[in-house]
Parts: sequence; structure tokens; C-alpha cells
Amino acid sequence: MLEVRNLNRGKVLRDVNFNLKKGEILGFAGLMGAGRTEVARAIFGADTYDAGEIYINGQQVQIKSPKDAVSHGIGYLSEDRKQYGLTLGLDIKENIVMASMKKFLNWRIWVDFKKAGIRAQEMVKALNIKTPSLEQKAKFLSGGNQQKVVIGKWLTADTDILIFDEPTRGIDVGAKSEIYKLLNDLAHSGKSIIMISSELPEILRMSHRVVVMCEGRVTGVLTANEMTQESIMKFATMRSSLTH
Amino acid sequence: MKTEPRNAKTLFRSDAMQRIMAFSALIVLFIGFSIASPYFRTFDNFVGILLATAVNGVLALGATFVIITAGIDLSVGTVMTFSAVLTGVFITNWGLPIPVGILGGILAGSLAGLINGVLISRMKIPPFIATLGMLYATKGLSLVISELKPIYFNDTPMFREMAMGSVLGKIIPGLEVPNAVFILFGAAFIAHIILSRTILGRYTFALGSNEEATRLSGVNVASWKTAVYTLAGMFSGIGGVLMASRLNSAQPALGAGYELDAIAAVVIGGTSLSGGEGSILGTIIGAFIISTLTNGLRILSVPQEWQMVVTGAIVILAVFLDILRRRR
Repeated sequence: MLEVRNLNRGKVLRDVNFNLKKGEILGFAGLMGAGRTEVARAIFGADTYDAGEIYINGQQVQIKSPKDAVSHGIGYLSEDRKQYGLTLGLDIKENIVMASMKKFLNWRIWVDFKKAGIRAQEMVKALNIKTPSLEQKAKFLSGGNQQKVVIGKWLTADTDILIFDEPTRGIDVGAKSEIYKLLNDLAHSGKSIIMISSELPEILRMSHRVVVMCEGRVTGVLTANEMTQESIMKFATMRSSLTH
Repeated sequence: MKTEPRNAKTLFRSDAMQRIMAFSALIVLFIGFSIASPYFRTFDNFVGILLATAVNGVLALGATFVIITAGIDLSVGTVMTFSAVLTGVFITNWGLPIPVGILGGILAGSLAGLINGVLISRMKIPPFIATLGMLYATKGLSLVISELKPIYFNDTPMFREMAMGSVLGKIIPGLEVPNAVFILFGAAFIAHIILSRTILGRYTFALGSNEEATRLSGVNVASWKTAVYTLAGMFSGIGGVLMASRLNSAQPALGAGYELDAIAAVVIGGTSLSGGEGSILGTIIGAFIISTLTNGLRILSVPQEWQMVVTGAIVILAVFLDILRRRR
């Protein structure tokens, strides 16, 4: 589905290689600053990278901006949803259609609020977003509901590859398990998911495989039966002797 | 998340509140001045206020879009002059047909706006600096092109008719309201539709609310920002044509300071300088507050210098009320 080869960016990312299969949840584990978010942002076109190749379905693609990424079917859910995920001052409806506004236009310029409202209502129902109305501003929602709005935005954009960066950070337990279930459902429906997480139990529970990073390198790729807290920590702390 | 009842506190914080307050202020001003002076409450004076609002109102429309994106456009006044001068060159000096001249003037304004947009969104120059540069550049160009002299439209009386004639007066004799007023309302209606119904309008709010999140939703923010500044330039162009028509001349030395009146109108109308919030209706009310205040104080023989002081105080008061409203 997605293959990344020799992704490099200064000292932050060094020769990152991995692949993501269709319908897979690929965990990304590592310590803080290992470069996981940087990989995600590079693939998504949010940051520039020095070198590297990205293939989607075997085709090499050029991703220079988030716009390119979205048009190639990649969605990114940032770890900081308030800063990078939502436009807090706008309502739920507008946030949900933000990444796919083109689908909700008449004559290419007129926003079809009715169609957007129908879609937003579907998302509110499907994701169990608790809100008094679709016109509620995103800033008034709880953390879990805000995260669900961001998920709803990418489901509406219908991207095949979804990158979840710390999807359950700052979310209460109930919403957490809802999001886990949703990730599994999405994978079953054929979406390919990258899940970056600093919580090892979460990684172990959700991932089909896990990529472990340390100091900007991929130090290990573990399959389901190789994954344990110990093995992940071993690779996460595997510092390169060359840097010392 | 529990649903909060819509109590008085939430209404006070709602976006509509500033508009309601601004509108109430306008009514209070009208009643106050009407009681204070019989000269204020005449039909001719009301028409005078409407006419005085026309140009500033049109400029403020464009400024509203820019300010909602959390940007600023300091060049609206001098771009207006630049458009007026070019309209004069096209119609009077080159003898082009009036509609072509008008279109040329509006396009000149749009071009200045486009350059602002490219400087800001592609070259990452802060809006304050980019538009300050445009302020000086268009001011200079207006003087160069006109050779420091006003350009009159004496050969084309129809041009003056455009703003100062009264179609309404022809239909209903006695109601001689100049067309300029209806051009303002027409432009405001179009601006409102663009802001509330089109993708450009919705992205204008998104940019002001959270530009980075908008970019990370795959929106080409640079292009949309450029479009917003181009639109502001277009409204300045319309303002320039209107100004030239109203004065029956393009005055190259005019225009400085108009940007401040436009920004004041926008701010009084409840559009937040921090972006993401605002409305065309509020801006129009804001523009009327400024011109009503100016007119009323002049009729009460308050010196012009003091009129400025009062306008300044009103702007500060409006922003302060807005801050109070947002404080939690």
C-alpha cells in the first residue's frame, strides 16, 4: 500500500525504510524525539525532507504539501489536535468537511451546507460524537469528541491511508476504547493505518506489526509474535554507536 | 459534554452580541443627535450620511475579509486612489469608453491586491509590512501617473451620474438618494454572499481561526490567502471608481488615512483582529457609526480635531468591549 524508502531529513530522520500493508495497523513505537512524528509529517507533506522515495500502490509519488498527500489518499491526525487538527473557532460541520470541501460544492464555489450537514450528522452518529448541535464550535467539545471530529474529517475525505499520531492522548477511558474499536473497524474495512503511540500497552494491543525508532532511525520491525514490551524497549534504546 | 442552556451569559459572549451592541450604539447616536440638533434630523442630512459612508463602507468590505484571516491591509486607501487615478487616465486621457475605464480601475485595484497576496502568502512577508509597502508604492504611483494634478471627468458627465445621479429619485420623485449608496449596499450584499456561502468565504474564516490546521487539512492556504487580498484590492478598486465618480475627479493626493477609517469600521462592527470571526453586516454598521459620528459632531460645531479624538475613543471602546466579551 505505502512504501517509504531512504527517507532523510537532516539529523532528524536517517534512512527510514518501512512499508504499510492494506488493512494493517502499523504501530510506531519509540522514545520521545525518536522521529516518529517527523516521519508522519514528512510523508504527509507537512515538513520538507532532504531525500527519500514514497510509493503508493507501487507508484512513486511526489508529496510536497499536505494538499498533495490528501490527493494521494493520505490523512494525518496530529498529536496536537487543538493546534493542528481542528479549526476551533468553526463549527463541527465545517470541521468535518474541511479536508474534502470540494465534495460539498455546487458549481465549484457554492458551499452546499445541506449536504455538509447531512454528512456531519452521519459522522456524529457513526462516531458517537456528543454535541448539542452541528453548529457547536469545536472549541466547546471535550477532548475525546474533538478527536472524533478530526477522525470524522478524514473519514469524510475518504483517504485510504490514515496516520494517527497519539490518537488517545488526553482522552478519557471510555472514548479511548471507542477509538480502539474504530481503528480496528477501519482496518477491517481496508484502510491502512499508521498508529504512533508512546503507550506500549496500546501499541501491543492494537498493532499488527510495529516499527521501532530510535534517534531518527528504524531500529527494528517486529511482527505480532515478536512484539513484547521488552523487545520494543530494546530496539527503542538501540543507539547507534556511530553517533557517539 | 453536557448541553449548556442558552443563558444570558452565553448570549453575551455570542458573536451576534457585538453586532447588536454596535447597532444599538448607532440607534442611540441617531436619536441623540436628532434631539440635539434640528439640522441633523433632515432628509438631506441623512442622505449626506449615507453618501459619506459609501466609499469608506466599500473599502471596509475588503478589509473585513483580510481581518477575518487575521491579516491586515494598510493599502486599501492608497490602492483606492491608484484605481481612481487609473480610471481617470483610461477615461479622460485615453478616451476609453466609461465601462472599460471602470473595469480597468477595478482591475488595477485587484492587481495591487494580488501583489499583496503573493508577497504575504508566497514570500512570507508579514501583512503589516507588505501592505505598508503597497501603501507607499501606490501612493507614489498615483502621483507619478497623474503628474501631481487631479484628473477631471468633465468630458464624460455620465461618469459622475453613476455615483451622484439618483435612479431612485427618478422612480420616486423626492427620494433623491444617490446611486453611490445603492452601490455600497449592492457591494455589501455580494460581499456577504461571498463570505457566508462560498468556499472562499469559509476558508477565510478557517485561515483566521487556525491557518496551520487548515493547511494540514490539505487546503492550499497560500492560494486562498492570495485570493482574499485580491478581493480586498478589488473592493478598493470599486471604492476608487466610486470616489472618482463622486468627486467628478481623481485626486492623487487623497487616500491616506482611509485605510484607518476602514479598519475602524471593521473593528467597531465586531470583527476580531485576532481572526476567525466577523461579519459584513457588522462592518456596514461600523462604517455608519463612524460617518454618523463625524456628521453629528460637525453639525454640533465640534472642531474636526475633536471629532478624530472621539472616533479614536470609540474604536478603543469597541475593542475593549470585545475583549471583555471574550474573557472567561
